[in-house]
Amino acid sequence: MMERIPFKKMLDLVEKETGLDNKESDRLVRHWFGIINEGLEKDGRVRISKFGTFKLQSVAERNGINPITREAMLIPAHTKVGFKSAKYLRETVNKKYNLLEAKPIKMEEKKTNKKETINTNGQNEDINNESTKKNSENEIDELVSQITETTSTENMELKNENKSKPDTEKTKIEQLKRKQSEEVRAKIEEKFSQKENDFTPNGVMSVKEEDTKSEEKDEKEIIDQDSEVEEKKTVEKTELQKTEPEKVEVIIEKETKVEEPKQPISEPEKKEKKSKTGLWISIAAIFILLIIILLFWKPWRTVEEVVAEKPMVQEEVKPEPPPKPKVPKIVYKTAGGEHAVNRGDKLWDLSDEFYRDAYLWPNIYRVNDKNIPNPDILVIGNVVTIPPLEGTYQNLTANDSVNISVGFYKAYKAYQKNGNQWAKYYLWVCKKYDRKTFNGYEKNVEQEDFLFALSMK
Amino acid sequence: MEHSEIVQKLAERLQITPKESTRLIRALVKLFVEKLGKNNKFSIPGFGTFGTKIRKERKAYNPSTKTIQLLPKKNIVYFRPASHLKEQMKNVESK
Repeated sequence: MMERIPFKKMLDLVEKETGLDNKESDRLVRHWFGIINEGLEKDGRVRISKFGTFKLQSVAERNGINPITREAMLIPAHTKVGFKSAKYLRETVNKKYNLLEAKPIKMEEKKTNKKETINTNGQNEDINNESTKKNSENEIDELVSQITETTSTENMELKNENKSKPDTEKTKIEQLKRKQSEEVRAKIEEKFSQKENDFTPNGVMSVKEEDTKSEEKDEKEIIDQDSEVEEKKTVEKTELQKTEPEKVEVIIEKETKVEEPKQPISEPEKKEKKSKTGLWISIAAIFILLIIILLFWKPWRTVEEVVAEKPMVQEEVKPEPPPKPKVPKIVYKTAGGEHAVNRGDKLWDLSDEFYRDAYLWPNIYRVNDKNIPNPDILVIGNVVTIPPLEGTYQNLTANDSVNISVGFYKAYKAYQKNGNQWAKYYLWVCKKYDRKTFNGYEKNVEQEDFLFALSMK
Repeated sequence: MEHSEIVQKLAERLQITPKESTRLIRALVKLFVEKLGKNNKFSIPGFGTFGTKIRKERKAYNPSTKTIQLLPKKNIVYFRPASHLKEQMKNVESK
């Protein structure tokens, strides 16, 4: 469901994913989006692989209605930030609906019907081709079906009878089954002799297997018969190989598939031998395992030894001494260049860092006024350019004072826009730094504030 | 701005190697995609909010095959820029 993840929780998740500190992960996320912000301003387009692209789009001016006052108003032309998700993101988001497909409404329905008819025609042709082959097999299939019916019904009866009737009746039924199976074998052999090209379907062999399984326990004579039948078949196949090699390959494949389950039945003695050797191997393996366990576990250790070992381990793993907290050195940076905003940065602090005088912050704001709508708020990750001073903070040159007065004027404008009541004081400081520039702003400034600035010394 | 440029700039700012910064960005993207895949919504202060919403099924005309199709409903990702970003980009010329 739609669930909102607060930013603090998101940072915890980032911490887990990347293995950074909470503070560092905060810096990472903010700087990453700060770089995207910067790229948007520079190129108007930022692409992040597997996530999407941010793009600036221009919007023409249009008429709109103020939703609160219901008055018609003109929305001016501006640019907005658009986002298009990448293919990877789209697919992961759409996993639920991936199976849905576009359905044709009108024209497509007729086409689908045609396709179906074509398909059926194709199938019929195939069947016609196959029918000639199948005719020869059908006779054997019929025989098999008859047998399977009888055997299945008998089996069902057997199961029912086993519970109620004594053992004497079982033997009778088994005898009946033997007779039938022998008859079937005779018939199939005749078929083989008649049609050499045809091969036996799998069904016949499977039926044979069932029969042989039932007979196996009582008598070995029938097994011998089976082996004889196999020999006959093999002889026939060898004859076929000489005449028609192409068809024989198919036959051999089928025969091998069928004969595989028969081999263990024809050689029951080997099975017993294998089982005996397997038993020995398993016993030996268990002994070896026991020896290994005894070697490592050491059950004959006394309690004293165990107690003596434990503290040794504890002594070995000594906690490392905690790293000493680094004492931040006050380093005055040289102005001129760019600075990426970190947590807790203010214009006031930045000017103290770069100019050694916090009161000169409007000089920084003068250059960055487009990116900073409110001088009290800086966005972490954004870049602030810091202009250098011509003189020093103690001895300002004429150009510096002009620049600073312009900065104070811009700060006044920003505060006035936000409705700050202290805005007019900035205009007064603007007058203090340079009188000429202050006079130039007379028309752009509200009269009350201008008069207030004039009245102050 | 392409992906490689972002990697380079992040490495410069956080004072780490470019290899490390690619790893971090990949981890971030993986996390965001995973959360959006579960239809979660999250916001980054000063930048904007990301979320998902369902687009209903609709009819569409394909001019090349001249057929009308009923496209199924699907999930789409939306991004709403924060007020700060909106104000900042208001007067920037789009290229």
